[in-house]
Amino acid sequence: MSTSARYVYAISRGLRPGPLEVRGIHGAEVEVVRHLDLDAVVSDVDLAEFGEEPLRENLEQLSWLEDVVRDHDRVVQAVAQVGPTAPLRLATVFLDDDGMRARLFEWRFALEQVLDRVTGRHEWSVKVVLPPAPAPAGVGPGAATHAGDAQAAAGGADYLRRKKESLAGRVAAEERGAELGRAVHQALAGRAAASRLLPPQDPRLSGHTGTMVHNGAYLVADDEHEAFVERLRELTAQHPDVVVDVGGPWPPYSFAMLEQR
Amino acid sequence: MSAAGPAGSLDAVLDGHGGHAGLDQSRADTSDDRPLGGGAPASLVDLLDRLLGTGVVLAGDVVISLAGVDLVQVRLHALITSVRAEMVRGWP
Repeated sequence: MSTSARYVYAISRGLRPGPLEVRGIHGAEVEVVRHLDLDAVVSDVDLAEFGEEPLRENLEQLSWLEDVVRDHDRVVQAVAQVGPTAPLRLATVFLDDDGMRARLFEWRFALEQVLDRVTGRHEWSVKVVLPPAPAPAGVGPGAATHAGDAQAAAGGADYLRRKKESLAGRVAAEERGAELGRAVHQALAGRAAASRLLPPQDPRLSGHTGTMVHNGAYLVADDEHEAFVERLRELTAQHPDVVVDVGGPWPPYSFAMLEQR
Repeated sequence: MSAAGPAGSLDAVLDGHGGHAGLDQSRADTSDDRPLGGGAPASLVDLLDRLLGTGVVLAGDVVISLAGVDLVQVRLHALITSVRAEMVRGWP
């Protein structure tokens, strides 16, 4: 037996109540439900999939998770095109519209504040990646292949010394990287309405090579983004040896937290 | 996937040729009949950063709703090591 529930993607205001053109989770129809002055963007999901137990299991299936994340993002992006948008965290599910309305009522002031904060602003992602350092010459297997015992011993000592230097060099590079990350963040935060530091991403997920020394999210006013981008240009010009990865404009995913008010 | 994958290089973004929409698209057109969903794509890992960890926390009736987000992230983390190949397949 399947029972449907309500999946909420985002809260907005000033939308037109009724169905939206964009499709939601697994292609579901997405509609706008107004309560008070708030518009909840919702679609039906099956409790056999989004109930507590199945949800717990499904969240561990990466292909399921990816599909739902992409469906969720598509809807949030679409809403962000037409109104101020407070994205909800993944898998916010209510048993019915009454439950959802009760929660909207409870959170109405905080939601209004969030919507005020993100109106006319977009999120930008800026990551800084240090490329992998090239292995220093003379460190590595075969570096100390000299003829003669005395030479070999000297080569061994040499090898250890170079290895130590290489380690020190790596530590220094990491410190420089961390410093650069802080400098970038400081420079960009000054041009942003709000900013957040996110943990560096796992290279196995992101696919980057090298060391991610900075992963920041910036809430930038639409009429400030020229200045923000100009600042980014300056920073990349100053540091041609690192990869500066920019993403956006995105809905204000990182700046819609009720707790932050 | 290189570091200039889904999240493009600065120049790519600025020129509008990268995996991201150009800056001009950051200005939302508020007319109701524009095609929806025309925003800039984000990589899966960027989305996971944001959708699991942040966003408005409006606890639903299905209370797992990531109340146990730490748990989810830990499990995800464990998952990463084993299913990297599977994920690459699904990426744009």
